[in-house]
Amino acid sequence: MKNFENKLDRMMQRIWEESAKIRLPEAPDANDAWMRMEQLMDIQENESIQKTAIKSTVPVPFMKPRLVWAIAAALVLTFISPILYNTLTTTSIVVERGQFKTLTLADGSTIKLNAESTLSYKQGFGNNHRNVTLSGEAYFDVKKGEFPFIVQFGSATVEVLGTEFNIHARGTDIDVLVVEGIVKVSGTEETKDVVLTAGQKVDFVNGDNPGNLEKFELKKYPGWIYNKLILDQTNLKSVCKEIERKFNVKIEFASADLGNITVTGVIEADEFNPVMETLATLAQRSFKFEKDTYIIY
Amino acid sequence: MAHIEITLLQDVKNSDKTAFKQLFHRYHASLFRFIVYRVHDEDLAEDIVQETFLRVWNNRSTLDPKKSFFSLIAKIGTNLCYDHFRYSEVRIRHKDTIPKPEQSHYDDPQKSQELNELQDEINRIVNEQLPEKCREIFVLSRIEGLANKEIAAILDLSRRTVENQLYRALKILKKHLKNYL
Repeated sequence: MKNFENKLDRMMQRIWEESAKIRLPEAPDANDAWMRMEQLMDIQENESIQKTAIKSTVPVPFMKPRLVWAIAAALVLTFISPILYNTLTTTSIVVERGQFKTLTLADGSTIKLNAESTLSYKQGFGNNHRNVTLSGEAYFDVKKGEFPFIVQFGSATVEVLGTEFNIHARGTDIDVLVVEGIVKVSGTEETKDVVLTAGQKVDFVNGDNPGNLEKFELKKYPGWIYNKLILDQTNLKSVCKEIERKFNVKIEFASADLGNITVTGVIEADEFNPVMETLATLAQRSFKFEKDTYIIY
Repeated sequence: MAHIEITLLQDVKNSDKTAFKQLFHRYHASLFRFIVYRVHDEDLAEDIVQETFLRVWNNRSTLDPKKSFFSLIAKIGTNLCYDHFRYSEVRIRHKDTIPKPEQSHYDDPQKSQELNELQDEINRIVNEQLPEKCREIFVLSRIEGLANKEIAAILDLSRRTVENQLYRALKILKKHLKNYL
């Protein structure tokens, strides 16, 4: 390199030095990228384990099968194999309390999974289907693909063609909101299907079927993927449930009616203590730590 | 090549996932910039980067710890670029440019941008006046900070050619920067 630099005249040397200082274009955050990388590696590993597992369940025939044994074996396989086959060919990603994961699926779609959520899909995702099952909460960024992307949560489904949306499905507390694109939401009764577009959300009635469409302010939701808690006259009981899940802690109220206090505001949810402090301030209350539980009083 | 790197590659070859994570962190950003410069789509570039590293991991038993790692991933990445686009299509659709720092959607808009006027101008001339191969070599040298020997290995050229191209780049830059220096 030195040899080369010696051949440059003064002006060229100046340019040579200055050009090295040009600001580098930004790259995506390495930690996020690594999480996605790990996910891809895990998926691959699971798929190859599944392939080997299936191979090993093919029964080796006995040398001289007695008729009785043969029939019994056939019956047993008929009962077990669908279940076994299903378990062996389904991939499930589980996110525990206090955790958060971003997945990239084979079709390029990404799914951010919130704490205490599970996402599953059968073998062949991307190749012969794009069906997934969700319990919990996830934010989807679905790429256009050959097959309709279908998310099943409880007895409800959402069918999309390339869009960004959030599904919150915890017990009977279910709602779907759409940030971009068009999404069809179905419950247990076909006649109650709704179609959502950007800026619309729908809550489920008793967890069975979608209710009426509501508008929401696009900029604000869903807070959790940006690590924010967005509260709009939300009662303390619900907020604390989300906080418990996100940070894997236990929160209780000194008296039950405290849970009904409503709060409005946006809380940065990077670390637990600041979150509790802000929440306490908003609710005009205090909190303390006893044994292994946080108590609001 | 640094000794620490040879051990790292050896560990990856032996299926050490932690070593692979370190390797990933080291090269992720520079590979991303290398690819995004070719495909002009940040999401696609990130996909290609991920696929490149995945291939490295899947074929880790064939890694040669003594050879340049960036050279390897640049080659794999480039091939993946060709798979996704026919190269000529990219040339017609987008002007080959060094992604300008202001345009990246990974930028933190709150960071203050103190762009030196001269650097700005150099950036512009590199994007608009340098012939394609010349520009690629110049970018690898000045922006990614690679040595001439490394660039030659990555692009399958002789060291002489790399130096000639750099000299050519500087001549063109000098011609256009007369007012600034």
